[in-house]
Amino acid sequence: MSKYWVWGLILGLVVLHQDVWFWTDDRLVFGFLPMGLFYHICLSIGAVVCWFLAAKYAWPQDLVEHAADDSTRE
Amino acid sequence: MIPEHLIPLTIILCYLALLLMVGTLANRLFTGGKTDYMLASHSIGPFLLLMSLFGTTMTAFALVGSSGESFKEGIGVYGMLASSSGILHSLCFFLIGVKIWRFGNRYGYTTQIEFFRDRLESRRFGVLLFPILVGLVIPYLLIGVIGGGVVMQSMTAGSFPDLFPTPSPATSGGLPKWLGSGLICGVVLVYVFFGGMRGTAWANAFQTTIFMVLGLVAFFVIASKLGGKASLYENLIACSEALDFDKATREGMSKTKFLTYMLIPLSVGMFPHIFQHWLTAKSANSFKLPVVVHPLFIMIVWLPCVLIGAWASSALLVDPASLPKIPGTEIPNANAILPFLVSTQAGPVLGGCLTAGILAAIMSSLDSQFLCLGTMFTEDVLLPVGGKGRFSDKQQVWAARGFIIGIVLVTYLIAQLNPTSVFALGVWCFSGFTGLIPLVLAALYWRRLTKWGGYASVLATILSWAYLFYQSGFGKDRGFTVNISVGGETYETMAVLWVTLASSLALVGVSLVTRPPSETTIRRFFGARKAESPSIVG
Repeated sequence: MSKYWVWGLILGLVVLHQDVWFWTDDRLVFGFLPMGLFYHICLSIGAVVCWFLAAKYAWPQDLVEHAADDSTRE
Repeated sequence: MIPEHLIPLTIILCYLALLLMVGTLANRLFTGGKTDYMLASHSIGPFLLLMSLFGTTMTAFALVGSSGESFKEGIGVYGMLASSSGILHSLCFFLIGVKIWRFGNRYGYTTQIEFFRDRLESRRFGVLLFPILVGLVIPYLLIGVIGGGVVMQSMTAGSFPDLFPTPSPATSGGLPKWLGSGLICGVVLVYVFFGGMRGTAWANAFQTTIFMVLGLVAFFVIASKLGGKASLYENLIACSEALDFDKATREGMSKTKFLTYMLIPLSVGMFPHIFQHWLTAKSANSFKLPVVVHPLFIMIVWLPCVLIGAWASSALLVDPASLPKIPGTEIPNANAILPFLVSTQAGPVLGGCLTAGILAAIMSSLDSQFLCLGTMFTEDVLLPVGGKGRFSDKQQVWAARGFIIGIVLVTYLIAQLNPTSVFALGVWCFSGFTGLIPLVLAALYWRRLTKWGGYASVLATILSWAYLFYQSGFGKDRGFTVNISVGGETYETMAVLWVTLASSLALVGVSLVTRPPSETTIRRFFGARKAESPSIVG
């Protein structure tokens, strides 16, 4: 997965955070979670997934190289 | 057998004793050096880094304030404060924290000002930035110290009715605020003094575990009873069905305010105490766990509190007449909602445990702030003024300890003046830190940032902040917004938007018309031109 995809997903999270479409939706998901709250819980879980992908595919390569350099010097 | 009215106090004291033990145990590993005291010798691995960063960013507001805000505003508070923080805190750790760690590790930085001095090629930059950073951290500290005293008093009410009587039955017999906040300051001081950053990180991990677990336990106990049904699930359904429309939705919430509030969590990227925690990491890879898990932890703490707060607003579930009131008024005290529900639905043992959890959240931020201010006074004031070679490593540790004692004392004494208006400053402190975010981002990712661009950005932040703060009646108008009228419609925006815009414009504008930084500085922070990493993704 390209790092640009990962950053696109994170930008997507920021956009999706502005959920004007559920603003006055009072349906209860699973019978007890108001829709607006359920949506933002999903967003929190989405953030975990996106940041996992970022740590896996968009982690700065130069840092890995620097770490290797440092350990060689030591 | 402990009398029932002394159970909460006993639990709180046991918790504080445990905390002292954890913090001072860290002293056994203390090597005596400055880097060990201030940065735990860069030895903090992924788990401790996660727990200390999370514990430091979550204050008592995460437990008490979240339920209180949800009581007033409804479930929209979760989106406004929690899910946005989940996305943006991790963004700050990733974009700012990892890079700062690299430079700190390579060039030996301990404070933000050391980094900015080098990056902006200005020895005097600290003279401008230091008072601003300290000025923004101190109200934040006061909120913790005063809040801790208030929580201790209300949750130990009835313990000593003859010794500490008060006119209000809600606090009568509880530990007086001066004693409660004194106990908190004392405990934090002991483990920060002896354990330094390692003690702080260990204590934070312990405290974070405590407030997460106890928050969840309190939720399940309250949720199992509040609806008056037999099972937990039936109660959850009954409670949510009783919600008023405006609390189950965001009907009364401004969409533009919700949008611009999203800038507030970015403040984490300029907190000096978070900066110091970043530098403790053992390696860049230590950041991966906090980056990924932080949003999940926020959800675990905030979701139960937001639900409980919203439920408490329903007259079908809680009799409004029974709610605790703001003294001298008939207005329900939103910040007392969670302790009230715990005491009415759970009993003294859970009440004591929840108080320990709230104190854990308070102290896990206080310790890092005290340590960070001690470090800043040593590194950014004492050493530049006194001369770096003049003090041995050991003397610098003792200087930091001395400053920490002084800061704790001053904070405690100011807290005794009971400046309750300090609570209104919370969001203003965060707005100030967010205003400085363009500076740190440009310092890390924009080679064209100049010394004068940096000065202009800080000045624009503080001037726009001061102007808007004045407009809000020095924070008295708690719902202050900057209203924009477009096509007959009025849009509410948070002050932080305008502070950040002013800071960004000043930074870019002045940098573009002033002399670029030297080639040496560019190479130092961005590498050789051909080998540089071209974008923020490294």
